[in-house]
Amino acid sequence: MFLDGWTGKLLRVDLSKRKILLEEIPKKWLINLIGSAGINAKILYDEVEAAVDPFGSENRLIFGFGPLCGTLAPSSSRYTITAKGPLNFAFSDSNSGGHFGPEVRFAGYDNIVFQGIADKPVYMWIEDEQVEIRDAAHLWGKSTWETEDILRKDIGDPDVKIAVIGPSGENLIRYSAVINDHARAAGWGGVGAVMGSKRLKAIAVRGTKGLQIADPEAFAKKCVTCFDQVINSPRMKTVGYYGKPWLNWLRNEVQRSNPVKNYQLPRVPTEEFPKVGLEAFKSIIVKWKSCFNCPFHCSHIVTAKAGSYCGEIGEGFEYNQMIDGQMMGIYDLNFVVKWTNETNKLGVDCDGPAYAIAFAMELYERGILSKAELDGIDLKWGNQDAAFEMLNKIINRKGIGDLLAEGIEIAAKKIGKGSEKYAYHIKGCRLEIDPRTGWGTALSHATSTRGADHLKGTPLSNAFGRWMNIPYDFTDDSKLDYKAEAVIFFENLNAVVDSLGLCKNDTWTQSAECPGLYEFAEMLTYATGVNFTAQQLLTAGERIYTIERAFNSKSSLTRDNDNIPDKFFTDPIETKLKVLDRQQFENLKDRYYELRGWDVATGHPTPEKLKELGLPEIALDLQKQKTRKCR
Amino acid sequence: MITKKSKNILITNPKACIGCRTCELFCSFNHYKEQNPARALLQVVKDEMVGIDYPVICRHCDKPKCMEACHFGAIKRDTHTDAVIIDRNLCVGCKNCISACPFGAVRIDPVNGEVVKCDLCDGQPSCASMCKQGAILYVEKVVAPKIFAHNAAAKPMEKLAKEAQHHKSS
Repeated sequence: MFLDGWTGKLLRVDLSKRKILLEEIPKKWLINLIGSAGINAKILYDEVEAAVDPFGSENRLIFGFGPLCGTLAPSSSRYTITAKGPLNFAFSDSNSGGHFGPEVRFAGYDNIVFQGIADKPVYMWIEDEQVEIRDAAHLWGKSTWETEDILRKDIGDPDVKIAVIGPSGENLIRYSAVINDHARAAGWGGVGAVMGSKRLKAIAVRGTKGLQIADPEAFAKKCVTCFDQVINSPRMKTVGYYGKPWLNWLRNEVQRSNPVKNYQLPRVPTEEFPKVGLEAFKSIIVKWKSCFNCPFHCSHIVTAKAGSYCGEIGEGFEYNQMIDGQMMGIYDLNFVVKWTNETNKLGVDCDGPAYAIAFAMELYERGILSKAELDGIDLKWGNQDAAFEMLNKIINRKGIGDLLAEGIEIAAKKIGKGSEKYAYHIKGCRLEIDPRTGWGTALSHATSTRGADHLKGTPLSNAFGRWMNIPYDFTDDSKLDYKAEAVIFFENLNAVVDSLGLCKNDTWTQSAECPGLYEFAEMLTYATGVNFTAQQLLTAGERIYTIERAFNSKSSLTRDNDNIPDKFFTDPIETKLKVLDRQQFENLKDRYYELRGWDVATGHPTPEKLKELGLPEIALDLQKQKTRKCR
Repeated sequence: MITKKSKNILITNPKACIGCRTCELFCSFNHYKEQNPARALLQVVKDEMVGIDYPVICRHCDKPKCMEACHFGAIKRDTHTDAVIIDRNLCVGCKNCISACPFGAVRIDPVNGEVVKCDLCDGQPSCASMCKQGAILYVEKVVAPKIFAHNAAAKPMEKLAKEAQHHKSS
């Protein structure tokens, strides 16, 4: 035993040399960066140079499993995959749940680093200390679900846990996902494509070593209290009952900003909303479904009840799944069931193709793309068959699909003809929530290290007010009060949650009544035997987020990349804020960089700040990079 | 002191299972102070194709097949909890009980290779206490069927209540 709580072990797999090394993670890293996402970010910074091609052999694919992942702590299922992203060409990480992450921890590992490229398709088999690189020729080209089935039979254990890529990742579709447990996806930023570029088809794992903790009695007691805290939180009655479709209702009916038809409409039209509303969702629910050790069960088993997909059994829905249909002008939950299943099988982030197709639909409507250029597909809003036809073209990189497979930013550049105007992305990543919702949303989407994203720093609960002991109403995002402060707080907090291996859904990120920094500190202290305070954790979060940012600075991203598409500054919608004001937005960014201790002109972390956070080596490296560029 | 015999039984309601495996995790913790579902004495079997989760537990049968199958009298009944338990001193590890159990509830510990099974945690099974969904219940023997009766009657009763209300108002 290296340490309590952490396993302290890192598995390094060089796929080019077919070498597997077992390394010990420096104790200092574990304490300062907590684990999972934090350590992933540090490894990425240290090992991946600025010029590295995301699909090149020098890129790293780093899996991280935090110190609370697999423990008694509620919703301890999450793991993080980090790489230089093929969509944003900068820092990218993606987080997923299910049962895969905990199993790796039970096998005894905190992180797995893949480097190099295998000469032919391979998969990893991990059984505690026994780790093998195995041939995957028979799996290449197979769907994620088929691969899981074949691997379970090959290995001869129906319960091994598997993370896998589908044809999408193999074909380097830039928004490919890593799928586990059929319907859990690390979908953000195209980590599945990086896995595909390494010719790594799957990771299968069986862990029987379990996890030891420093103070079992105190830890168990605290975790049971946290379980009750989650169960008794008001969020249990909304998202705990309806899942994320409740958020779709909230955004559409209360906040009145819900992307539809590639942002042509600010929300689902009133006459269409009943088709995708809460009652419609309720009618397709079969039962609740949850990830490992989670009482919150935000997911459901659902069955399509009508139309050509009648009888299709699927899982969902996440808020983004709900948007997928709407973006393409399809107001039909039965379609969403089918769409999710197909994208999960193909191993592609369900939103990636939906947003790319919605973008193409807009170009078709505006005459920028003709029917001939779309390979004869009548890509009208709401055309379900055309959507699936196009999905197939994208995954197989056929015709126009080859272009859309590159993501909307690159596709728009190649199409030209003014199409860039309709490609709504930040740092190459699709924009999932309307920035006109308010200032917190806008700032956090702009500054997010991995590109437009609400799970890095959007204030989604009253936790900031609780932490600062001030009355801060996160629901009114139209006000400018404390916005930079709140976004920074949430960015740091979320880095902590991701690094612990917990879920954001039933913690402070999304509900101040659920467990937060105080509970985390207590749990982590009991688990590891190292004394942690809430403030210490938040500082670790700041450290992690700054490393992510420093990687982007190294990759030549600057303040200018923290931008929001023009549309959101010019077209007002029904929200309280209506539309973003450019000057106010830039002022808010100034304040954000100042508070962060980053250079206001460039948005790069300053050497002073990096040193203050105990990262002098990164300060030195960034300095070197700058001098090199000057020459 | 007279120790009162436990009246409770362990029973599952698979329809309510959300597949979180909290039961497995807490089972391993309760028995070995480690977080290791592979050592759990129960298992949630999953079929992701149809989205079904099914908790497999020992039912502590009245006429246990495992007990019948054991040639060495190693499977006994706990006098206090009525649990069907394995006597470590008598068990030879022949695995007859594993084949004999119609429910797949007898297991092998992956760490020491011993044949193991649920022992009802001395009358305080953590799987049931941690199952917030009511998919695993530890309730009085006579109460258990009532819970299922009430569950089954809930929907038709709601319908009847609505009809009655409708009748009143018209």
